[in-house]
Amino acid sequence: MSKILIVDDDLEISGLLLKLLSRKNYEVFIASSGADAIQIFNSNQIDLIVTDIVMPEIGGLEVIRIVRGINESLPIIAMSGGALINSGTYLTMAKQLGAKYAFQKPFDLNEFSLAVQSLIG
Amino acid sequence: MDISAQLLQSYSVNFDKLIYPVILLDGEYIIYSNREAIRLFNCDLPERQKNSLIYYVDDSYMDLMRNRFENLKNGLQVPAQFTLGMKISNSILVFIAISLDISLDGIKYTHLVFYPSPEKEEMEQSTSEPKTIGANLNFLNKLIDTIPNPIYYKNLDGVYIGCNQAFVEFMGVGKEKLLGKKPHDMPSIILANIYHDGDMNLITNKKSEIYEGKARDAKGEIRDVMYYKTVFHDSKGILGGMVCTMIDITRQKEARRELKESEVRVKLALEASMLGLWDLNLSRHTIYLSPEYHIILGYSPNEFQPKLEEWLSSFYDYNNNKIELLSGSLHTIREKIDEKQYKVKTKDGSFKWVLLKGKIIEQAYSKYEYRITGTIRDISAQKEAELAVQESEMRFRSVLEASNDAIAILLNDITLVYWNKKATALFGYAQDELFKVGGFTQLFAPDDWHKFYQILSGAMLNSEQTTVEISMKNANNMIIPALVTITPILIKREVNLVLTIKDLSTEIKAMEEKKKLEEQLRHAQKMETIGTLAGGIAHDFNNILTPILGYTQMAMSDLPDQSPLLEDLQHVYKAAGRARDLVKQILTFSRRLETEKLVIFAHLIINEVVGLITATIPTNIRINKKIHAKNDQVFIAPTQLHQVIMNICTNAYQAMKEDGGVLTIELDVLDQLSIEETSSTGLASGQYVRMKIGDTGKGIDPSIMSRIFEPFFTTKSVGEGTGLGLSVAHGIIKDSNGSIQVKSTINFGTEFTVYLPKSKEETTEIKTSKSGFDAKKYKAILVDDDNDVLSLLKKVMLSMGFYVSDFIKSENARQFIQKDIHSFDLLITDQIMPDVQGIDLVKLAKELKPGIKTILITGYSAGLTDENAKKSGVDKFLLKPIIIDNFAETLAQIFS
Repeated sequence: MSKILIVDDDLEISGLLLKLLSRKNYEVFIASSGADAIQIFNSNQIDLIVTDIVMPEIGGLEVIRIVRGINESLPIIAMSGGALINSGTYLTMAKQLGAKYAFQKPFDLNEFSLAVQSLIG
Repeated sequence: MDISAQLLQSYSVNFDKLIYPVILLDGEYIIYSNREAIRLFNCDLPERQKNSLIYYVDDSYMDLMRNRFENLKNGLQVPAQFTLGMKISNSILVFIAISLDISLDGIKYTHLVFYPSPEKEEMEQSTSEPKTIGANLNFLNKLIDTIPNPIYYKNLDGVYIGCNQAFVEFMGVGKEKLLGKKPHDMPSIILANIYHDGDMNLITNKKSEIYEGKARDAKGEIRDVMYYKTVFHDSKGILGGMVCTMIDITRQKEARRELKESEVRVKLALEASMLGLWDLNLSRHTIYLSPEYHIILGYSPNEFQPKLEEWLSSFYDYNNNKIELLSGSLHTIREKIDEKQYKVKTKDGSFKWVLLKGKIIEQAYSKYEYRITGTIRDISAQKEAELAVQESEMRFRSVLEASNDAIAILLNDITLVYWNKKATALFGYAQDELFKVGGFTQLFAPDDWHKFYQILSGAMLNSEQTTVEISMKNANNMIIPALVTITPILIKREVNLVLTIKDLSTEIKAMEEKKKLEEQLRHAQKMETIGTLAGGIAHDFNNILTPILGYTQMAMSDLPDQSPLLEDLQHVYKAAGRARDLVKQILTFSRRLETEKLVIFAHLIINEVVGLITATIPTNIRINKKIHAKNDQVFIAPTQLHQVIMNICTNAYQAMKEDGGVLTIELDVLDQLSIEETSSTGLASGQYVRMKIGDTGKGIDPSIMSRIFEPFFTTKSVGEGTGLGLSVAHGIIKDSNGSIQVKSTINFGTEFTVYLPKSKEETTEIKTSKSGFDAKKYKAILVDDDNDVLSLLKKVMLSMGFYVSDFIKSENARQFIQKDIHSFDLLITDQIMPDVQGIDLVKLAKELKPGIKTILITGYSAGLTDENAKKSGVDKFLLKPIIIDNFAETLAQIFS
């Protein structure tokens, strides 16, 4: 069973994705901050990280950079509410940092599921 | 009928039947000839020159004749008898002429009777009928009776031996009573002795006498009389007696006296009214100017003696041009000289205004002489005043004409009598087109006029200035919104209305424009707010929408296809979808707002970008930021500049992703471009902000170098880049009148150079000047006895980066200064405190460390003048209440 780490300070979103991905038989970990995420990532064999970008303290970009420092090929999906001036840039940067997919919230769950499926089967 | 006509009638009645020629002369001119004279002398010719007696007199008698006429001018002659040769059809006939001068109404006439001379009679005796003495005598009596002057003659004893009818009438004594008597024989003759003695005296002295005396006429009135007396001799040459002609000159004397009086009156009047007199005789070519005339022209009396022609051309017009008076024919004289204003040159050469009045005088005495006489009056003062009034009126008129507002003047019956140029231009009517009753109302639509008339009437009634905004209309019926100020003024006890009409069209337009601008501004502000709001809420909103949409979607997929809930959830999903689209729209919209150009500091954007990328780029890439100048204002949309720098940095970072390297960002301000730069960029001369962004990456292949700014050109794999980054950057910089250049060497790296024109304006964001101030280096002592103020100031200073030692007790502060001042850079102290005053702390600090900066906080500190404080070493003042922005600024200034 593939392990997916969901990082978002909004628990409604992580809860939704937990429900969605659990049904598809993934083991889902939830982190509500960048720091949590790094900790969970370090202590579990995570196959996919789905991370929000705009979060207090350690943001999503930082999370991606750190993870990339540890694991160059781990699939990462970025997502953002994307309301900041440079939100487009954030998602672009996330991809530049190595996220395979970047989703603008709110996104279609089917598309999201397909993206997950394409990355970890 | 005048005297001469009367005389002529009486002559023709009495003398036409006479057998001797009789002629009556006015001077030398014949005014009457009897039939015999006409027959004999052929002297009834109409031509004037032939009416002169001289024409008929033989040349040898000419001197005698001329002499006589000459004497006649000086006074009447005694009756005389002389020989006169007359020209009669180529021969000369000699007559004994008896002449008698008479005077009627001041005109002297000479009466001539021609008797055949004795020699002639003897010569013709055989052929002509002999004439008796008796006949002669009878004729003579008849003759003298026709003469209106009293004539008498006496013998040697003074006895009346003859008189004429005029004498009888004058004395009031019948001829029969008179003849053969002496004057004093008749009791009715008063002054008889005097008459008698005078006559006897003449006879005794055997002479002629002319003198003026008195005589009493039949009515008892004393008359002034000229006596012409002479003795006569009989045919044998023996003294026979005396003859006297009396001419009553009472009337003339009176007339002369009256004339004299009136002359004096005229003279006084002329003097009093400063009227000068002039008198031209055009026939004789003479001119007379009165003393007043001379005085008017600044001469002493009779000093100015022009010839007629000189006088006629001594007048000038308004522009000092000479005018020829009477230059036309005689017929135009009258109108030309009839009361006109001229200028004349005075003795000192200056000009003077005069009023000239004149009149042609035709004299009965000599119809063929033209005289023009008139007055001259000095009207300089009056004219000057008149010109001054004209000038002042002109000035006021020009003020009105120059006015930028339309000005109109109405009489109290609303008749337009004046309006200025601006008014005619505004309303499009000809100058006087509306100067008639009802004309002014044409400037209004009927309803507006009704309203305006009420206001006009009100203003007139209350004599009150009134201002009203009303619609008027021009000649083309176009509406002109106007602000009309009505000012009633009193002219000759009648109310006139001065209207100042201000065309509000442009103002209303401007107001509308302003309104529009305000609207736009408000709109922009609203948009900005929405933009900020959108930016602020969209993130949260999207987060909210995500579970709504997600759970709905999941619930829908969980339900069996036939579930009635499915449709309901579809509605939820659709609605949430609409909310998502709305947020998207708002975001799109707020991005559009971000493209507004502002004056900003380029290095701040660089700092922002560097801050952003530092967190994201791998550690094997070092960032080297070199800001050489901070006066780098550019006019560009901040987000666009952000995008440009970000895009170039992204490219740089990607070029070094694998092997790492150095990202160099360099900024400087150029006063002018180098020749090389000018030619490569094609930019105009001027100041530019130059940003160089370089990497030490793999470099750009020369084969694709020319295509890097093309849209959608990318070397990156799908998903890594859009291929739009550099083309967008190129577009943005070009749009801001800048240039973007690239240099690259394979395996050594690439350098992009961005040129943007340096903006001369201050930045839109002024606060940045403070951010340039780095307080981290400075240590400060802060003293204030008010705890709130102290903690506030401390907080501000800490936030700026100061190291702060604060004291609430001034004495503690004093001790601290004494001990530790050397490690501090700044002392900020309140002035009014218990124990030690702020100024004393400043003094102490300066004494111990002269280089220390000091700021004194004061309220209304009595007795502490600026000068005093400065002397004590205070560098800056802060006034209570302290405004934080001012405080921060003061801190920045004191270390700049």
